[in-house]
Amino acid sequence: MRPDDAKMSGKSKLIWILLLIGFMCMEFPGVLFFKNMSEPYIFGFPFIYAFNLIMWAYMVVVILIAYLMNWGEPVLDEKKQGGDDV
Amino acid sequence: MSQNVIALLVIGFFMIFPLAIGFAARSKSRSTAEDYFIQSRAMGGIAVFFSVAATWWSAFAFLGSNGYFYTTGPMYWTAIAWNVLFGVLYYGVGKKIWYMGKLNNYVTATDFFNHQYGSIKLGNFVAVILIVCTVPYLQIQLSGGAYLIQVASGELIPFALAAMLFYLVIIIYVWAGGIRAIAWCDIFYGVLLFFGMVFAGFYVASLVGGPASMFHQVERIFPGHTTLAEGRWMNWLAMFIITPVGSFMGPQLWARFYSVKSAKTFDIMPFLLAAAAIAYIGSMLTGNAGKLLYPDVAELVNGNADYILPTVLFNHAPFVLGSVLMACGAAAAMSTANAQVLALSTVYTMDIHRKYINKNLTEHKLIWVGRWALLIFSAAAYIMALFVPGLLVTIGLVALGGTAQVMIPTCGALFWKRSTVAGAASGMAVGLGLLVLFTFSPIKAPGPFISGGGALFALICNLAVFVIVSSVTKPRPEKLMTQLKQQYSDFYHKVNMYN
Repeated sequence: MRPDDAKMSGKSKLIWILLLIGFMCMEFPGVLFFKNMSEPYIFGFPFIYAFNLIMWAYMVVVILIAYLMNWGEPVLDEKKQGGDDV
Repeated sequence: MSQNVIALLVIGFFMIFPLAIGFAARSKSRSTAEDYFIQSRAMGGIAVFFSVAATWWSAFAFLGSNGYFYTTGPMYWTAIAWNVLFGVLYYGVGKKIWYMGKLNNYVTATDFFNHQYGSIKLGNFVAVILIVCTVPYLQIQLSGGAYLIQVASGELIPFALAAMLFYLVIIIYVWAGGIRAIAWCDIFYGVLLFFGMVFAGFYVASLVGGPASMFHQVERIFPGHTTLAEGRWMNWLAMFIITPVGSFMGPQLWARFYSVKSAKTFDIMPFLLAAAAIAYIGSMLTGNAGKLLYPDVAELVNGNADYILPTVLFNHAPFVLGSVLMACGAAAAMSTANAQVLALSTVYTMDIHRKYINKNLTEHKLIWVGRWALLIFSAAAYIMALFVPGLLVTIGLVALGGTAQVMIPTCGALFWKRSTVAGAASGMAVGLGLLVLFTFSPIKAPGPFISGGGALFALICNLAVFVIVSSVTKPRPEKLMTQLKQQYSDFYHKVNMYN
């Protein structure tokens, strides 16, 4: 229940879109478009294993960047954060 | 030194060390129910990571995954994606639950539903779902762990005794130190589990010439085993969604939202959990190499694909190495079972006993009720492990399909103002009804869902009913919504979040 005065930032939207793309790549191309394909072998692994391994690496990098960017959310002034009791 | 003595020493160490950790944790405990069940909301980042990871990875991950790679080829490789999804959920959903828990003193999932929807009945409905669906999942931890102890001991310890020992150790340290003891033990278990899975995979693959050679042999001898079988994409997709969502909604994970001390832990957890998913490479190697070593499932111990790793280790690895690796597998099972048994006891104590049996219990007596509940749930799981056989992954998926249904009203409360009690209850009733229908009757899920997608179909129907019924039924009371809107506004403005 996000309030109107705390809209998602552009950076945050970009992170979630990149994650969504990653999940879709991990779940759909390997089983729908490249089915029954063992070749090419990459790093010694059949295609479906290698493809998802590469996508896994992509996701880990995106998530690390997300963390370093505070998940795209603006960093608030720490004095203000502690200012109001709930 | 004889092999039997070495085996008993290895098992003895894996049994006694957690007990020592548990009693050390006890010295830090306070005599309050909140401390016993959720560590006074003060669990540090390292303990949270290991406790969540070790709880989330179970016998299902250590044994069941090998069996799935062995029987179905790459089907289980969707796990590497669902681990990432689990991490993202921990940030996107778990952090909000944690914040609301901190503001409103939630201890269980039921507390969340009681307050967020203003309905005790809905909370009770969720409590029943979580208990009923967690007990079978607890049973598979016991079955997997006990079997590994049996094999690691060189068959010196029979299954029934191994299961008894397994639970005795867990009960003693959970009894003594509650969730703090579990979290501390999970650091030990988590390290064992991660390195055990990876090392076992590379070791077993080395028996057939290493990973690259192994896959070429698998493709040549078992055509189709290196690709996803025709028509199985739905199963792949359903596992990707149901497994992390179902685990995420388990009562043991709710406790791991409320226990967290700092919001920063939620920010970093997706990265840590996603990175740790690389351990599944070990299961992938074990399952495929095992296929070459033992092509016929009848050759495996108990004729059960879940036991491909114990079979290979028992027959090919040096005895000590095999015993240590199997003890790592037992650690996987124990780290999940300990959390589940305490979570079940928490649900019973806080949601049932405190509300309906004795409302005037002191904090000290509440802890004692929780301890006795530990014994009862453990006994139920023990009896089921002895008398209800089945593949770990199969039982696990049905149980997870049940807890996954709780995700819809949870997200509804967190993200949709229009969510109603009637929508939440009817959605879950439909989802669970369909799951039961597809599991226990000859009726199968329609269309593409017939191929392993029953739980996902049930979840989609749950969502549809939830949205439709919520849209046409009476909204939550204005007074409650005003309070919740203020709290969610504080969440998004990070009021008292990082201090």
